Amino acid sequence: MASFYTNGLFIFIYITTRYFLFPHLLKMFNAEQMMLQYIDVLFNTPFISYKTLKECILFTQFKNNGSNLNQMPLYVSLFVNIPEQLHFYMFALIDMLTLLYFLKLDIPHCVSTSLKTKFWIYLFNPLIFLNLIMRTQFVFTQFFIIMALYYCQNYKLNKYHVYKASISIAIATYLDIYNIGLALICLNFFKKFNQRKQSTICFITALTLLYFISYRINSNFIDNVILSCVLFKEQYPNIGLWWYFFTEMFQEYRNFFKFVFNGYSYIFVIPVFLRFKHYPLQGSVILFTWITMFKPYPTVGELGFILTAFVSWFDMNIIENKLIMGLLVMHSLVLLPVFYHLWITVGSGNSNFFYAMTLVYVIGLALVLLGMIKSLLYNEYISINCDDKNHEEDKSDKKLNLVCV
Amino acid sequence: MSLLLALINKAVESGIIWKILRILPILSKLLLVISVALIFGIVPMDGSFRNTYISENALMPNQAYSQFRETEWNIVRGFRNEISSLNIWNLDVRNRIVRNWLDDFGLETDLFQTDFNSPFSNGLKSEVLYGVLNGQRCDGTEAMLIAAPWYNSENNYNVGGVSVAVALTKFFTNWPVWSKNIILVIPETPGFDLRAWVESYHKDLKITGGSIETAMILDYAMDSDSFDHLDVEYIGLNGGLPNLDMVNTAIHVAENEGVKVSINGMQSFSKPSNEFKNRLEHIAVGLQKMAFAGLEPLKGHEAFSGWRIQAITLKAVGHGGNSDITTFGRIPEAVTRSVNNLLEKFHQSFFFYLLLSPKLFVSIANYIPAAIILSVAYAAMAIHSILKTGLLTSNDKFIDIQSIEAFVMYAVSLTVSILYRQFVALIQNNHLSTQQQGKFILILQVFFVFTSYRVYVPKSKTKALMQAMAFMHFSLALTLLLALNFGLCFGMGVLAYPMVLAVEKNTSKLKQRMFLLISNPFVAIFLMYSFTQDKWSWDLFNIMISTWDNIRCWTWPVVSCSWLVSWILVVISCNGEDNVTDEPKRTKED
Repeated sequence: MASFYTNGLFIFIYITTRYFLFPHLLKMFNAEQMMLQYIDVLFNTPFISYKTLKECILFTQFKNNGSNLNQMPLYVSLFVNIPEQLHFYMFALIDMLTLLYFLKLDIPHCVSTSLKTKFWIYLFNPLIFLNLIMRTQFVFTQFFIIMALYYCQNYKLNKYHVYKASISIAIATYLDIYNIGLALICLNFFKKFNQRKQSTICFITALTLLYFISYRINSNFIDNVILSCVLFKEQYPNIGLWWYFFTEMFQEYRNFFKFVFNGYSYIFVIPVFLRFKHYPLQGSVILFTWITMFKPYPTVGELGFILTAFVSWFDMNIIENKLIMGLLVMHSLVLLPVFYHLWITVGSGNSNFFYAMTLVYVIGLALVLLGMIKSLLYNEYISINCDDKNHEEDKSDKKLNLVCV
Repeated sequence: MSLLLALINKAVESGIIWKILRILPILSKLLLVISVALIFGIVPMDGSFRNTYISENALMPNQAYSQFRETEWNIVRGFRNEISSLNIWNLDVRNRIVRNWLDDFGLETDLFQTDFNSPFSNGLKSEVLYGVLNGQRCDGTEAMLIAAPWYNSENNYNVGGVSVAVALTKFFTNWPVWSKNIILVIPETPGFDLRAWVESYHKDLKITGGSIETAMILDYAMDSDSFDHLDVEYIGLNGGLPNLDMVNTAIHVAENEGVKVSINGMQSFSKPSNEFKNRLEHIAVGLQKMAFAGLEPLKGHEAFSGWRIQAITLKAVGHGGNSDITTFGRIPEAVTRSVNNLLEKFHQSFFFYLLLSPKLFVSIANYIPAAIILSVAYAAMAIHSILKTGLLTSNDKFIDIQSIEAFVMYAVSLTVSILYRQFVALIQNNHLSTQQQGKFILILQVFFVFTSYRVYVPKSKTKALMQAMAFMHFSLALTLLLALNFGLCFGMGVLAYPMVLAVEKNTSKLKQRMFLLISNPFVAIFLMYSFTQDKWSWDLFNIMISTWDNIRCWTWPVVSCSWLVSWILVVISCNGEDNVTDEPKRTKED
């Protein structure tokens, strides 16, 4: 009983500090002016930022055609109905639910992450918290991805879970078209053909329905959101690898390279689907990381999700170069806003500085991806090649092989 | 790739990585030595610097014949007589009279009122006179600025500077060549009020003349007809340097006029520039000025940093030399005409440099490794401390009460450091003079170093984790600064290094405390600053905060958010007992 009360107290403290105290403190110290404007480029793109959302709300209220909205109509109409003071609490609610589903997710048996550890990992991830403070759309996308993974994992408990999973992955796809590959990976969760069929049909129906409703609300979203995202029409500098190429490129070659880049980011959907058939949870994170590396509008919020998943769903003992990985990601995250500031505000640097840092950042991300794949393959190798007797021996062997640099 | 893999495997098998990990503290010291040697040894050496050159060909300095000569001589002298007789009057009388003259020349003029009301500069009121000369060929989008404060940074009446500025403006009105507006600004001092004017220019000033490309501050604070040499000051706030082309143009023009030129107040023209010691002095003074920009008396060009304005101060030094006052006028004239030629912006990647003499420079690629290496030196210590905790090598649980303690201490020291400004403001209200306040803050640091172990003694794992976090924090802060303000980054990295020595195992208690004391940000900066100023400057901390409040000089927040945090963590961690055994490591070796 005592533990119940301490837990209750603990959750109370958690909620008050994370959703009320800290945002309030930041507002008090004028963080928007002092600090957040410098990291704006890391967290926001025109398609997910809160600023464009406010713009969209204004357009839908006062100017009915809304032909230049950069956000999905359903997402906007959700926020139109909420008074502006409560917007943050909507995001906070979603964040809380994300945490809930994240804790409920079953983790693979090879990883011994306890419930408490997962809780701390999510709580102390500054990227996820800043993403929440920035009120980006990725808070929602992340929630629907984690919800989909949860329902996929527990599809046996209830026959409706298959539908719930498909619908949430459809919503995640609806919010960001680049998540469409995850729908395929999630089919690996289901063992029977029938369920797969159900899931596929449900996914397609839900997505079509969402698009149809959006089309009825505002038909311009296809051009303004989906196509401008996929075809990179809003050429703002961001932490991705696309913008620099297209600032240098002649008009005639652009279409070809847009095709090539998009193809490149989608090229591993089927290989991941086939290779990591038995590890759909980790497979989906691997695919997500790959797409984040090469999509046109990536943000650091996605890195927050990737790192959380990486630490809690993969066997960290196998992964080498943890320090190098960490240092690379940390230093690139520190230097990215600095070089952006040097380029845009002070004017003494130029775009090459910023682009060089995005390259370093992507290298850090690639190391994370390699670590994920290595840990997965290592575990697979052990589970296939070693029976239970040798298992202990292997573990000690594993320890010896560690390189902790 | 496979070759790399083979190499890594080889390294792992031979155990060289473990050997490297064991000597990390020595490696860190070695990196510090390399870094310092790079800046003070390699960079001034022959071969690593180059002669300066004009990168933007459109500037063409001194291609046109300078006209501000003997014909203007009587006009300058007339203005000088008038202005020196204005010395007895108040600012508003002086401004009104000069404004009448400017109106007669055909400038659009106005007065700008400034008023500071921050706790660290109580109610400074001032008035800035400015006028815009609309260029005949100009579309009003770009401007060049000439400023002459009434009193210069040494608080001398700037009679020559103002009269040359006024005479030049009159001279400029006769010419039809200007394709950029020319703005004349006459503030009371080159400090806060000029900065306030610039800030207002980019917000809500009544008369504006387009974006300011360049700014020159004329400082000729004497009555004599001739001066000895010209001093060019260029280092702006927050590590901002003007484009090297601007500095080069000014130096080139001045030397063409037969004026001896020095930079940063280093009178090195008597010595040959091929002397190693000379270049070394230049680099040391340059770095010091970069680190302390904004804390030393403001020269004027600092007011313009942050708005993409290339600003320099031209200061005439010495009575009765070879060059007369119209020569001093010809320098801004020729620079203005050069900049007038400019069609585009100043060239990129000419913003990061160190000058070794007026005509020698090193580019960023040659000196930035020093800062990176310094950052790595601290990162190495952080890795060393992480290894001491044994988190990476053993399968212990990461989160237990000790590590949570360390995180809490980190959060506490971060909060304390951020709120330090409020704390200093509290002292401010207690009727202490600024000198006493400075002494009080310093005594507080000593007190903290020698008594903190009575309050809290961390366990061994907490201790190691705290050290890891402190050094990682500092390393990240140095990385952040290295491109923004190289001087501050390098200075902080070197001055804070005794922190690393303090955490070593075999230091005696007293020695450790001494190391901690001299690596304290306040003590270290105070000592360094007093050394460079040649007097005990107890009011340094007040200056730091007031410059942050009034002219956005980042030194205070940078120091308090990076160095102070790490220092507090290191002091607390040094209180911890030292019974750390290297168990995880030993098992590894077996």
